[in-house]
Amino acid sequence: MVKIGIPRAGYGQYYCQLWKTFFEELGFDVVLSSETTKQIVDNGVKHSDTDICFAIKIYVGHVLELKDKVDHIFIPSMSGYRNQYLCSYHMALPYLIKNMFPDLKLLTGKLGSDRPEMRQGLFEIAKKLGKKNEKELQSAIRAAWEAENQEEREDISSSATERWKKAEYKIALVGADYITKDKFCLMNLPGLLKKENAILKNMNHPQRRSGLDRKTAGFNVRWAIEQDMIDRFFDAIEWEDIDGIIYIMPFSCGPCFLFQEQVINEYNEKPVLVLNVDESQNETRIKTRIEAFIDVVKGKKK
Amino acid sequence: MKVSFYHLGNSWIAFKGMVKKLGLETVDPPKITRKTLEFGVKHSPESACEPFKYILGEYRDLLEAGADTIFYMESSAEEACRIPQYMTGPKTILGRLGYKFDTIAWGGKEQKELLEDFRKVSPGLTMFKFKLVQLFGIIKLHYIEWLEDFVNQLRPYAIDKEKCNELMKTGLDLIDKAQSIPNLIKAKRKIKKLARQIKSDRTRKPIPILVVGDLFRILEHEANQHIFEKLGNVGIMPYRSFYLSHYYRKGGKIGPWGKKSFKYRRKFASRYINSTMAFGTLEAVGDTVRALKKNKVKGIIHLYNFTCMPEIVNSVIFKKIAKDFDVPLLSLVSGEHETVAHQDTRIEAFVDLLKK
Repeated sequence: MVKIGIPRAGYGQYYCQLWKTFFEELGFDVVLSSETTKQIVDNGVKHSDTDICFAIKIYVGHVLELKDKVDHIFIPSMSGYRNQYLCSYHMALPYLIKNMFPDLKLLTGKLGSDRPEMRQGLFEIAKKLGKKNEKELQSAIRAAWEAENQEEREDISSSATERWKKAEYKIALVGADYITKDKFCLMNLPGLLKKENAILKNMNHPQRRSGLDRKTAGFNVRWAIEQDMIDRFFDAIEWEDIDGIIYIMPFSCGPCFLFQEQVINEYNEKPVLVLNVDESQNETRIKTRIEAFIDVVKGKKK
Repeated sequence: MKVSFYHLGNSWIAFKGMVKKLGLETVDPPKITRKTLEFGVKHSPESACEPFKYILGEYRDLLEAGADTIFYMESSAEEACRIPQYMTGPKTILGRLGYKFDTIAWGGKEQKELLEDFRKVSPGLTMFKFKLVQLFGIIKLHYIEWLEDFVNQLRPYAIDKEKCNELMKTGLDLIDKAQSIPNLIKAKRKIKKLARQIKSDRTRKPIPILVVGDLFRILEHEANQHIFEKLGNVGIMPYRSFYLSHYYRKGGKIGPWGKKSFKYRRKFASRYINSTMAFGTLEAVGDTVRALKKNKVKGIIHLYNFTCMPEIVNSVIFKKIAKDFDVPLLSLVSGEHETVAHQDTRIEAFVDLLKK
């Protein structure tokens, strides 16, 4: 049986459940890479170009972990929503990996972020693997959508609980999914906040959409992920329960800095903590910053 | 209304010609100095790339020189580099510091939308005239690029290198003054005549190399520290892969030319990379592969800025190409701390390697 590996980093964090179900329904063995560990990060940093963004370095680490376990590694070339694009690293990711490690067997194709484009892309990739039965493909993609919806529902239901009401300070976490869903990148942030009697809310499924029209807000960004982050940021600003915002980004992320300049420095009604994630981080450093941040939040609340 | 433009090498001369044709007053941009970059570095976010810092500093210089409107180049959304966002960023930063100004963007949109933007500064502009003005701008840009290439390819043969710099200066003056297409042709003839007076030794055999990299570092001589001049002085024939006029031919949607050349480059590049990134990065890979396959060049110099996203991807790909074709590759990364001596030493070593 053909084994397909999916790295659980980068865009895999958004879609790994969907892709996994799709390929499993077609009868392939799917191996997800394990959660990010220190060893994976070190391996990725060692083997990738020095200037690349930290998120991609993690991705390289995941690819190297899968290398010997599977026949094909699934690395699609993603291309945002209709009028938006992704950063050049994500768009050129399979080519980047291919040129770094010429011996790897990759399974690539172009995928879009909205459903028709995603379906078309996945069908083409499945046809490359010899699955040409249209009915089989349709039922597989239906199961994949179902799995994705299931995951979203679980995420939303887990947030509004007793703990949320009890916590004194409510902090929103704004960032791309490949950082906020990765436990290594978060550096035990929820635990640290819990000690300070605060709770962390990941803004990836906003409770309510902000009333701000994207164009009238003046931030019509070209990158899909950053547009998402701006929406999340405004959601957090508008949501009255939220006391403070933690903005997290990988080190040397290209588009993020513009967002930081134009949005965070301009809209400062709520305290914002900007965290840069890189390979040399440690918990102590973050701890001091979190304590200081909570003090600011306290002061503002009084 | 006084319109000004940032340098982008010598390209501002073409922008100036265009704006003058629209009947607006222009201000020549002051020379880039160390202070320009220092201002940019001080006020821009730390992970911004070098062009952002240069452009921010230059905007300040332009506004101090008396301009109130800035004309700049814009790209389409397809080109995912950060340069299209580089107007909104500096505007927020300069606004915080108390500078206020208007902007005109050229490129990146459909012609109808562009025309509406231009009508705000030049009322009563018709589509026909607008197209003519753009055509004139592109042709002027083309002549400037021709002159740069002409001088660069003359320099390795010339005995007195100083004369080449003089030729460049007078040539740019002539092109600047020519405000119609027949005058541009006359200027070209005059430049060729002047070039014949420069004593040159045609028996020399300069080593051909290809200079690739991001748009700003290739075009802006202050940012690349006159690398083309330096290479010419030590007997290297530098070819370059990026031309701004090519980009406008494709992005401006004015004429049918240029599209074909993009297609074949993409075909050559497809073995290494096959997805859109930014401003001719894919085309640069195609150009390099084509030149190496036909054995036209003997080395590659890759110029790029620290934190430039598309070029970091490209740097990985160029490493692979250099390995596959077995040619020397020099990657020159620069940030604001780059010094002249640093670059000179590396180029010297590279040239020694080529001459062996």
